[in-house]
Amino acid sequence: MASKRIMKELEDLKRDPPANCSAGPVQDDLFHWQATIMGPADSPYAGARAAVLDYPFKPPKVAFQTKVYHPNVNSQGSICLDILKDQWSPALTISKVLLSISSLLTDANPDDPLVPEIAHIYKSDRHRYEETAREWTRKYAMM
Amino acid sequence: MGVTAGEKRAAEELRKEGNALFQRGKYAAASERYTEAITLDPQSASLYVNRALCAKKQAAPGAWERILEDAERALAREPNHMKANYLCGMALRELGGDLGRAIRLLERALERAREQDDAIKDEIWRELAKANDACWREESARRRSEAEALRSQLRKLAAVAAAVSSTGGLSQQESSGSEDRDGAGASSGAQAGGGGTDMSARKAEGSSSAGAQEPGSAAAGVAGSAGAAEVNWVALDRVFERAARADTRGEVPSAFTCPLTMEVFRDPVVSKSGHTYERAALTEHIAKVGGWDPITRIPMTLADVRPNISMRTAVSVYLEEHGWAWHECY
Repeated sequence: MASKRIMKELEDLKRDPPANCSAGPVQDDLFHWQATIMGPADSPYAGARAAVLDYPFKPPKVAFQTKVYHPNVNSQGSICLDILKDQWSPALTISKVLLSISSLLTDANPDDPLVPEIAHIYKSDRHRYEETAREWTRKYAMM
Repeated sequence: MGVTAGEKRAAEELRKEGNALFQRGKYAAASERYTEAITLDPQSASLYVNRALCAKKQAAPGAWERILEDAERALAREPNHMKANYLCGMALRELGGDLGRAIRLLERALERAREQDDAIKDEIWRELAKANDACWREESARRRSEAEALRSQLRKLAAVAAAVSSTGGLSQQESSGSEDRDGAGASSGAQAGGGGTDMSARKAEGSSSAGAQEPGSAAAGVAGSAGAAEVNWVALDRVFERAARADTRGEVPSAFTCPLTMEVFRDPVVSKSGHTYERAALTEHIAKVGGWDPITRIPMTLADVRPNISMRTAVSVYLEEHGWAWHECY
């Protein structure tokens, strides 16, 4: 079932790609995906890897490969997002996951931070946060 | 010739031995036991079916011919034998036999498997999908070439009609027709017009009764119907296009596919919250992810699930009208 569904999702993604994201399998391995996720205009974008194993009954394992300055992304690229953990449902899709990550990049969730220091700056000095995030993007993000 | 009780018992022993060998993957040896059993009890459908299953596992050259033979023998003895119907339908498709019959046999096998709630029903469904897909390929190719032939035939006819009307050959025919009075004149006019519609026939009839005095007006009537043939050609193109569209692959509407498998429903069940899922996928979700509806997240168990018979019917109606969609079912 897994590979059939993944192929179907891949077709849907090609035909109707979600805004701000692009994704596809690494070489011909259906179970390992490479994705590029963008935030809003002139804000961070980043490359991510996703492993879809025992899918859709387990959430895809998504991690950023690019360093991302964000309260909900740690230095290993782990993303703190409920639907990637206990709120996963097999009715969700890779496309919906990418959209959620994209909107997390836009609207951080500093009240449930993975990196408290960044969350603190986000809350206390938004301007400095934005500056640093942009700088990191310039430095690390791949296009 | 009756089979004695002793022969039946011996055949039964051999069948059990065969089954044990089959379980251990010793298909050639199992097949031999079944053959011995058949010589003792030639009326038992299961023995032929089991021997056919051995041939299927061995997959040697010529296996499908042997499977077909044994499945036919089993069907002759027990027409409703689930696996005999399944094997016979599958072999017919593999060997390029009668696809209509293959589909009927597989449908019967699926019905039986569903009644018995046998796990083989998924495999039978896939075979049924393959047979229906093969059938659609044949039929749609036939429809396509039929339409192409019709189209070029019409193009030729239109060219002939245009040539005839431009050389004025028609008005000659028209005037000779008017000699044998109204009825015959009208029919020749309709033929020459090529359109053959009631309108042009009536026009020709009207003009031929008056045409005895005024040949010029008859010629005008013919020119008018040649113009009508051109307009019809555009409309005909649309008709051909519409016919071709029915045979064009598309996307199955998501209403007919499971949100978890994204495949066309085989055994749809409805949850407490009213969403429909493929039974196997929802069962797996409840076991692996949790006891809640995947879309609404409302707590539920398998006991809350009901078969969605209306959906199953809707899917079969859809597949009947969109034969290409069978391809997505295996």
